[in-house]
Amino acid sequence: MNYTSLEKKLNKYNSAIALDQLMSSRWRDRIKNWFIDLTIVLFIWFAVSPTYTPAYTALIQGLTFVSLGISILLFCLESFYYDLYLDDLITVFPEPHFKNGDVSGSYLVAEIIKNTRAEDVIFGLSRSVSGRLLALRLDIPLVDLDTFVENKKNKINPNEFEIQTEEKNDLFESFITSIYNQDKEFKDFLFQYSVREKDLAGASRWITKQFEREKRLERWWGRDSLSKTDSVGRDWSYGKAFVLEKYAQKIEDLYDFSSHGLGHHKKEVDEIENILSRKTEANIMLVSDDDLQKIDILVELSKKILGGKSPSLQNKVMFVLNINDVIVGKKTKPEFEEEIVNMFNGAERAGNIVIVIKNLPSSLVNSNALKSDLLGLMGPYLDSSSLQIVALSDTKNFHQYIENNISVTEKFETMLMKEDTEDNLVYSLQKRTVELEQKYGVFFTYLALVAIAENVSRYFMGQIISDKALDILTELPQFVLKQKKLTITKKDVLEMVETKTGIPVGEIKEKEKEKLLNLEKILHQRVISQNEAILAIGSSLRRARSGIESANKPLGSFLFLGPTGVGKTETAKALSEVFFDSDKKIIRLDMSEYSGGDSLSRLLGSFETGKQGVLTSLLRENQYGVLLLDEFEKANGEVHNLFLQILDEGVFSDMVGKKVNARNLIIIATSNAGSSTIWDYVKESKSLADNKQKIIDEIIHEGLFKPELINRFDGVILFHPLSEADLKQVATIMLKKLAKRLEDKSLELVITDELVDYLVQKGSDPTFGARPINRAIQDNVEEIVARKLISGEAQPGSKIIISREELELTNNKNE
Amino acid sequence: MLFISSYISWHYSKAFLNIYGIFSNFLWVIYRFFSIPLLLKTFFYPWHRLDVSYAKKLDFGEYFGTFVVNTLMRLVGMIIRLIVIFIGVVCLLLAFVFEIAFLLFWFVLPLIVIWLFYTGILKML
Repeated sequence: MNYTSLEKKLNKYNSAIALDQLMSSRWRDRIKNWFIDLTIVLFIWFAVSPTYTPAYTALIQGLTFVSLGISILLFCLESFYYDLYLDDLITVFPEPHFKNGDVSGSYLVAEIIKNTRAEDVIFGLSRSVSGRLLALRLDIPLVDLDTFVENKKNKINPNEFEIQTEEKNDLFESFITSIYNQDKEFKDFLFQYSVREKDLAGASRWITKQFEREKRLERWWGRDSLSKTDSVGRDWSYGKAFVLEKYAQKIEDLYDFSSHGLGHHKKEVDEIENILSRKTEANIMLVSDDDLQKIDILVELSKKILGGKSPSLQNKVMFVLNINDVIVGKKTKPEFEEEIVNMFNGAERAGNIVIVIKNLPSSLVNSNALKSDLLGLMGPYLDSSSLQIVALSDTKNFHQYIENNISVTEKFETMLMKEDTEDNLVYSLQKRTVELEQKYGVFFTYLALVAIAENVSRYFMGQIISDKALDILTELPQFVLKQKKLTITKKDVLEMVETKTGIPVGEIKEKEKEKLLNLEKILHQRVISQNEAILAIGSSLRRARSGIESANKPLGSFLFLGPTGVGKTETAKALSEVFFDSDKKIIRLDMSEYSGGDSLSRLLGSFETGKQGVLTSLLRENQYGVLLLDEFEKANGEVHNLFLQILDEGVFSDMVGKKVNARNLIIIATSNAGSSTIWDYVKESKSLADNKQKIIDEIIHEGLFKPELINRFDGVILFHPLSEADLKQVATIMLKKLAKRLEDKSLELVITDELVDYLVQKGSDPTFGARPINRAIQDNVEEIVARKLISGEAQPGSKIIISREELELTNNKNE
Repeated sequence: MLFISSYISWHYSKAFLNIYGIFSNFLWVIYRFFSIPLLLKTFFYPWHRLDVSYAKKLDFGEYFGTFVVNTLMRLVGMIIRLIVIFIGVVCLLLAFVFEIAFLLFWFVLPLIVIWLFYTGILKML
């Protein structure tokens, strides 16, 4: 639609907007009420005046009349105002006598258009209430907005300004996104605040919804508000289910209807409604791990029924029942069975009851413990036409107890629910901010809500997303109040997620920045030589952390190839120390143990035995760290396929289909594959880097790894055998470690060349790399020090010098 | 001036429709609150559907007892429903009368306001 025709269409709101500009509606309302109060006081005075103040009676009568006149005038004016103001409110209940023709948000746009001066729509936006609120929700300071508007160079010509209104039922959103798409300067301005079109549209929708909500409250005489009154007839026409009411509660008494069932599960609600409307077998099982989601859907349905918008379920009342309460109350089988039968009989006779059974699988298991067949007892009622049953279950128990039970699946229609989408999540968070903002006086920005939704699904995978998101939302106000702030921004959300998970999620901080830039140097403090490997790791990780790479992958993944004892594990430890502040943050799996046929079920858990998987439980406990897979080539082909998926998507599913997060891991697979080729190249003094592809090809040729698996790694890193000079350095580092330990006992170990040479000579077997050096230190050096300590030769404060003779002597003894 | 003219035209056109609409909502909610059709449909049902099942064995005394209890329950139900239906109809009528009165009042409201100002100021002088 063209700007000019929109302006024409919306000018009917002008009178109301003029009133708003004159004085806010809150103040007008206040003044009106003052006059009404004044009239009452004057009237009382007038009534008693002939007795007490006869001289003023006429004056008071006059004042009363004038005050009443003003009150009526103000009342009429406000009625006029509200009629226009509420005109763009879409009602849920059809009200045939009102013709609310306009799209939601029309009033807001009308205000912007009325404020538009000098043909600049942005000016109108910046001067209107909705526009300023929008800026605040997007975390844009109003000063910045005003400066931007003042210094703006180009204007959109209203004659050329087109508003795309298709497929949207929010004129405000359409209007704002149209400006965004047609005014490059505005777009660039928003870009500075990291506001994407999606965010702008979402925040605009939020503003419209917020005004809609206010309008709905003002319109107390609308059917949407009036319909909340209960009906006396309903309760008196149907029966009372006495036994059921002992254990169950009406859903409207159990859950807060203002914060549940907010209307974004229309599809699911319609489907449940259809199933429950059947003549018989009108039962449904909702399967989801997210309790909130299930309740939300049922509350939404319940609201629909209460509002009279579901003719086939008219007058139905939902009762939420926990059968386990009956089991606890009635301890023996006959008592329990009698109670259940009475309960269902009563509910059936009442004629308007839908029973919601919480956690059906656990009820089945527990009733089995009483040797009672709950399903058998319920059987006749499941076919009944006057009783509907909704059973709830989580996915794990559904797969374990329900899925294979034909008698259940026959009677219940199963509905496996998907996780809420991010947009839905943002929407339901929005609804809940109202209460928090009022309670704490804080202000949520839209970007903060988006950050919650995004980060929760990334860092709390496997947990119930909407629950977790709501937790964070509820804790945020206090979190920012402690910092003496009132506005909740994206940064606060990231900080909060960081404190909760210990994972640095926010923008790269100073400390980490330094680490990332100097990664090679830091790694070299622990890892000797291996320049090529360390360079490759450094650049891969910098790429990953700068956000260039997809967020839906592990933090980094490497295949370390090379002989034993050349620093592969040490590099993994060093990475763990750099990124996770501790070399203990390593989850280590020896993959040679997973070469058998049962490997996959050992890693992921087994459905039949109910045993947890090694990998799944390790990752659930520490989802943040280095996952080190030793001797990766020895793992079973199925295990390789599993990692194909993990490296690609960063998530995998356990035995019951629950997701496990691997996106916060650095995955390092080590392998000796290709060692002999590497040896050959090194012996011939050929560069490993130049021949990398040849080495990889050979490994593929040998059938150790599939090419697609190798390609999934962020980097294949070749470790070359250590030279004598390297080994010397390794020996020195190891000795320094020992010296450090001795220092705590006030002993000084003198590291002599003689000692280092001896160790290097011991570790000169190329097939074992530096590993024998470590053993020689343990077997010989530590042994000598221990002996010196016990014999009293070494006293606290003294120096320990170890000679070659001593070493050889101990060595001979050991052998 | 423009404002006043648009107000006056609203007062004598759309406002009437709105008052009619608001009262229709009130009538609608009263009707719903008393659920008159539902009460009529279940008029002869026992109170809260509380009835006693007849014994399977034929025992005249017991049968008679059950019959009396059930009849009483139905009678109680009918009486209470009748009262509710009556109150409901009265409320509907009252709301309707009030609506007519308010529409008339609205029609003369501008005149009333003028009269109030005129008389008020006259009294004060």
